[in-house]
Amino acid sequence: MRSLYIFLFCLITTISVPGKTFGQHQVDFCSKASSLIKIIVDKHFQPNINDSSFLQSVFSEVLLHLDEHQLLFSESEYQHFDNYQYGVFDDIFNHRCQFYQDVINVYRSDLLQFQQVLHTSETFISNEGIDIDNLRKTLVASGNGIDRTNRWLLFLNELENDYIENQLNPSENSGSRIDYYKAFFQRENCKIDQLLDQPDVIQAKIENAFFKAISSAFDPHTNFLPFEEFQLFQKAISRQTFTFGISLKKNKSDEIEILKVIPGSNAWKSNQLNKGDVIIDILSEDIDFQSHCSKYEYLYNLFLDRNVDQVEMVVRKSGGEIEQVKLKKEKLEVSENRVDSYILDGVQKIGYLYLPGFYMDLESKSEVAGCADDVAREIVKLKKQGIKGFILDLRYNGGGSMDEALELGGIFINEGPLFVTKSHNDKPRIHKDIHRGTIYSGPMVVLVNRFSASASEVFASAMQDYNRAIIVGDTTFGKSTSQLILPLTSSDFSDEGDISFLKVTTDKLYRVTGKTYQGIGVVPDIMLPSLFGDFMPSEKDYDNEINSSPTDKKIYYTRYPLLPIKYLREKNNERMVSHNLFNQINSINDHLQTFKTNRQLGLKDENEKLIESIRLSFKQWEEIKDEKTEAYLVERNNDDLMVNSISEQQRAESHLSIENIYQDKYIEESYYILSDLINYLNEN
Amino acid sequence: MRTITPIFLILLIFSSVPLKAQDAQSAVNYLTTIDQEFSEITNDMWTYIKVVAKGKSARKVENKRQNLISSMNTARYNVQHQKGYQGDVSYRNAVTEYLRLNLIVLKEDYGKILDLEEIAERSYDNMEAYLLAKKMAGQKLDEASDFIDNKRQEFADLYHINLVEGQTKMGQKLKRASDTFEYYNKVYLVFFKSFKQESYLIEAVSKNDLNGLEQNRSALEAVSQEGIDKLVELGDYQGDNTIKHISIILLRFYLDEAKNQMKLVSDFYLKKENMEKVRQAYDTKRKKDITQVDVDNVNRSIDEYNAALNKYNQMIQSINKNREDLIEKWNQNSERFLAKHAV
Repeated sequence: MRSLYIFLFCLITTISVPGKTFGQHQVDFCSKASSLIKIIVDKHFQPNINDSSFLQSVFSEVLLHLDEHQLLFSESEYQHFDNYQYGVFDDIFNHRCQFYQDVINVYRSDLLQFQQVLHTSETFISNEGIDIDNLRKTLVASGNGIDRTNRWLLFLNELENDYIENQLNPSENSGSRIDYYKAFFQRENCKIDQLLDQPDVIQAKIENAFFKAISSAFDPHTNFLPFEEFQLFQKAISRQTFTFGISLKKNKSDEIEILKVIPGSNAWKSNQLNKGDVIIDILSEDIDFQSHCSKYEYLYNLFLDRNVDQVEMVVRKSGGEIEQVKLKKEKLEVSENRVDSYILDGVQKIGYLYLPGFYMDLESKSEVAGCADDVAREIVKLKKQGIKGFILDLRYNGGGSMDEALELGGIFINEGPLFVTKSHNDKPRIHKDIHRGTIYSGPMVVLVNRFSASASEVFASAMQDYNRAIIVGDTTFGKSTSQLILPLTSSDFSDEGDISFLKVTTDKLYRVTGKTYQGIGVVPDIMLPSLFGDFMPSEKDYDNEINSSPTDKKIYYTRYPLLPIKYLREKNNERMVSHNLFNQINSINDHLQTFKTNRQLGLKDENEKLIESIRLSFKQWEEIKDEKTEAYLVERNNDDLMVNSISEQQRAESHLSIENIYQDKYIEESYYILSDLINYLNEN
Repeated sequence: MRTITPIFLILLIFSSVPLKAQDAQSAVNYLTTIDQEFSEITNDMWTYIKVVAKGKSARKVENKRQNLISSMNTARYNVQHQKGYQGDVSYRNAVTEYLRLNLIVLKEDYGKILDLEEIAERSYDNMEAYLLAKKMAGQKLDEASDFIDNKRQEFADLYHINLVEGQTKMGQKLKRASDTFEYYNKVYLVFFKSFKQESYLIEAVSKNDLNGLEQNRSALEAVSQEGIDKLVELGDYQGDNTIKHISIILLRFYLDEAKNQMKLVSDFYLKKENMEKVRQAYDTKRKKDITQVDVDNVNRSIDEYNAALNKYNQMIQSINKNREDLIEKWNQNSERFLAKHAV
């Protein structure tokens, strides 16, 4: 397996992982926690654990993790836990983890009390609505506290909004109000029952919450990964995965529905499963599927479980008939991690490629099985078709493997360093292009946005520093650190069964100029407005973002001749003046900024007018955003036509991609910029 | 492949002799004593040059190099332990330092006089770092050589010694060898850059690494073209263009390999990938949906793959044979060239 050094941004959405514990609590919490901290301190770039703000975040994170909607813990309990926060690390190192038991006790007791709240609330709901006033009085009178009651009522209000929204959509109709709430209360009660019945599960949940909070207190990207989360992470940066060939979703009736059957998989070939089928049971002597109140979460984790390689399911087809289907796991390509290239054929013939992530083949023994190799192949195909320019689209590319970023950079520069890393104790290390030579040396645009992070930023900044490509789009996320994934197999973390992992920030990254883009991002040579602009999240929004300053390491590299940025900006500005969509986006962003300022100044009346104009702007934006460009024809490269001819699925995917490219104004503007550059180079 | 490697260090003995000393015969003796320490070195240097130039075995070359190191060590020790002349140790010290630098270069112990980390960071690979280190060490030796010449002249001026230009027979032989190797080294380095670059290309092919293959292919094309241009500009050596000529032919081979031949390997990879994808698409199609066009496409992809494979195999056989022949010719020409001019 190749080393797992990564530039990681946001790969996994948090899902609750019930029931899994590591070490089965044979080793006490305190030992594990101190062991975890020692490992992080040993590896982390900047382990400043003596900072008071650092400690402060641990407890609040744990409580938020356990009580996402703040419905469980009371004000006095929050105050009680506040007493622990500054001494939490001393307590752990001195083996005084009373606070851990304390959280367990309070959590259990609050879960019991919340069941009472659910029970009481149910009696105040009728098909006409919720009797909020009387419910409030009753809950406060029963000792639930005013603040906690109000938070619960607000939550109910959101539920009610969801219900009303469902009613408006006939396909999502979820029955009467009483049925809707009854189902909800039943589910919540069931989950609480399961938690309360299994002390181990509560312990593991709280333990995980602490480990996650401790890890992420070091910096936003250091994280504790229970095995199931690690698997999700692995999938996100892998080319292939073991899967049953179906993906699931929870429908509005809380049933488990098949969202997609992966073409070519066993599930696809069986011809027994289709999108929209509902899984109603799992047949196994070991599994009592019906007893699980969160069946979707349960099945999701069951599918991820590496020990489960076949299942027999009972499904309800769209016509209502019930069928039994046996499925076996197999190795399949992760379709999100695949690249296809297209030709934009207009006045100039330009190659276009969207790279979704810096994925790699974790299973392959070959060193050449990641995204860089895929991109290389596509470029060779594009060159055969005589492209005069190339657009590499890294929008929404949140990073991945560091090795792949290095290999990708090498495709476009002859030789030299691409970035520098610096870990806690070592000297700065220069990472150089692996192969001398290039595959593509012509004019190039790298398209980025706020969601281009980590490896994307490393790549884009190197191309910018070498004068190799014009960077177009929005300022990138600004994450200039890299992480290492470590299995937790020390004596404190039992290695029996599934092990947990630690993702720890080990290195700061620097551009070949020695500068950092931490918290700054890579600023494009030509900015294009993006919807919500500066309202979008970035690295600098994190409270505990790592600060970085330039490195004084001497770095030798040879720049390509200067690009005519000023000229290209002028040409771009000329187009921007009458660009409907980008002007509309600017208008929305301006309105939103004014709205924000007004809100800060307390100018409520002005804002009401503004909301109306924002609505109108959005409507206009909706109307024009999908207009197709006429600047070029979008075609798949010739080498893939044979596959497309056979595979209906590939044809459909290509068709969709082509439609999206036609509608994408950022690609269109990149095409114009590249055409300007080609013309300029021809004339000068 | 075995080629005659260049000699980067040929220590030339002084091109002047101390002749006349009106009132300071002892000063002349002092200089002569130090000069004599070089006689063993020059003998060993000459033997070393001969075995290199005649393309003798690596073991023999290494043996002679060790002899040279040994005699240089002895000379350095002897000079270092000479007394100064009337308390003046500046010339003695300059010669000692000069011999120390020569020893370092001969032993390739560059870390003692250069910042190797910086050199590594400025270089693409170990080969380039090695050559850069040699170049920088050579510059240091040149400076030291100038320095020692100045010190010798200073000493002579101070003690009224006339230094008369003129070389011994051995000095002339070494000078001739030095000039020949200077030319040979230039040609060799140009050839070696392409030779090394081709080895990276072949390594990428052996790993089925299309990315590495394509990058190294473009690099080989660039260095070979650059090499041809350099050689064309270089001119002949005393009317002898044999080594230059064969080098240009070899570089043209590399150029063709990079520009044309190796494209067939990339093409083969793409045809293979296409056949696998087509096959997979076909296999995942439900039987009832399969058309004659699909079957034709599968067959066509297999035919294209087979054709690409054949071309690939033929090309590899052909370039292996051509390369072997040309390298052999290159070696023969090198040996003849050095035998004719260096020894």
